[in-house]
Amino acid sequence: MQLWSSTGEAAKKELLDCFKLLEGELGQKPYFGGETLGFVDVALIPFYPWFSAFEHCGNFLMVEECPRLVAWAHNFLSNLQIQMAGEKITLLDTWISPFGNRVRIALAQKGIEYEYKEENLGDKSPLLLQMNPVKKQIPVLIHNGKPVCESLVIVQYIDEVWNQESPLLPSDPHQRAQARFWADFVDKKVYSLGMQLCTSTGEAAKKELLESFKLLEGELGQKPYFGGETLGFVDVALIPFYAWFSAFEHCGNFLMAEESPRLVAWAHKCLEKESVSKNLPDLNKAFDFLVVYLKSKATKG
Amino acid sequence: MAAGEGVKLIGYWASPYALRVEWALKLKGIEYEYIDEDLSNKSALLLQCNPVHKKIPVLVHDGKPVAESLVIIEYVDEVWKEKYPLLPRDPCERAKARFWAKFTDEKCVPALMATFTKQGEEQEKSAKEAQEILKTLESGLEGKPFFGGEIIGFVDISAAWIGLWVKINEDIVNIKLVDEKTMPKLCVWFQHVLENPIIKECLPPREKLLEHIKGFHKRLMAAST
Repeated sequence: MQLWSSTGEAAKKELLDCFKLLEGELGQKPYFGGETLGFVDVALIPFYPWFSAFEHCGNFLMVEECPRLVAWAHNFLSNLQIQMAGEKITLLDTWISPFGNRVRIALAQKGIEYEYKEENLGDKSPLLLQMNPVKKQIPVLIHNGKPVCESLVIVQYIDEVWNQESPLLPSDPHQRAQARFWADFVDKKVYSLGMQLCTSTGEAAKKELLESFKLLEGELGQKPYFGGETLGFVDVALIPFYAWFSAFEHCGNFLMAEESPRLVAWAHKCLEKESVSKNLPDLNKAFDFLVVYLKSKATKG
Repeated sequence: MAAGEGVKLIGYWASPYALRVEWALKLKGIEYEYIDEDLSNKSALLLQCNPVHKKIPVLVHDGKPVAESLVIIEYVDEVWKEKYPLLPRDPCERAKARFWAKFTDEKCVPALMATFTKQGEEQEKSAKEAQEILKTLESGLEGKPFFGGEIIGFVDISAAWIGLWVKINEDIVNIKLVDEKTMPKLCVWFQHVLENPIIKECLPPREKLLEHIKGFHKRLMAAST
């Protein structure tokens, strides 16, 4: 930074000396961590995009001053591409499932490529039954042959494995606990109360659902997202239910814009992101489907 | 409440959810103050610390509350990560652990409650379903001594309380849910976890718990007639 923001040779000399020390530490190893990427590799590689700026300000060439470091950086970056190319990721899901939507949004946030397989829940595939023998439900993420089940478990898994990109959970343990608490709240309240609202008569479910939305608005406060300045775990947990809002309104005879305006504004903000808008079902299609689906559940009792 | 005030656990002596958290704290050797709630007359502290659900357990660490037992255990595991890790390091194994803990709460608990609260044919049906669910839980052990592998871990402390509760329910409603013949591995696992000295130390007194749950059952039956 000193090189960048001032003139004079002192900072340049010291920077180049530092790079040479790092080259000494690297030695003949492919990575600072030895045969595999390690802590120091991860600490240093983000400065690779800054090399050309350093070169520009200091009037030197990294490939002449520190060829070993340049070779290391190229090796690192090509390895990452190979790693991603070697990953096989499949998602078993259905278009309307808010739980599946969560996983799709998380994958999109992280820029992860995957194969999507639409399940017919009336005729579950052998793959689904094999990968989720316990609950036989979607979504299931299959990562290099190993299944991960339960939407919020999957989202946390994605966040832990691809932890370099767009973190969904905060780093502070207390804030992480708060995020998990509210995602659990969404699971316990929004889905079950919404289903109760739409499959039975009586005002109790509606009242409790609307109270739940108000509690969520309280937690959101004035932040753009539950995750703060960026989309976080709770946002991913809740936003798929936006596609269900019109069904809730229809069944409960209310308007979300009147009852929970802050939540509606939040949802619109989330939808500005492609990772969200491309991974929620078409709202009209969802409404038409849900009205029929929820009616059939109601008559079954 | 303020920073530097240590760890408080607001719980209830007969609650398996509070018990789980105590097990996590004890295994990690964390000192804490235990506050037993009167659930029929909830304290201002509880209502302040968990205004959303108004339920125990709540952990208060340096003045900051954390609610929901599994959320609390993960919090404790992250803050005191050097001491007795409860969740595995590998993300896939962590996901499996979270799956089975969730399974315990979403499947095992309602099944046990249904067997306990229903009567006649409905109760028989619920009992059969509960047995299937417990057999499924057993399959999660995958031949290991504990869900955590060689030592007690996240799932073990989330689910092992069931071993005590099913025995008490058996005494009250006369239905044997856990059978050594059909679930041998589950039985051995219950025994190994519940006999661990740290785990055993926290268990509520059996007779007191039996009387308490008997009273609960009596009130339930009276309300349903």
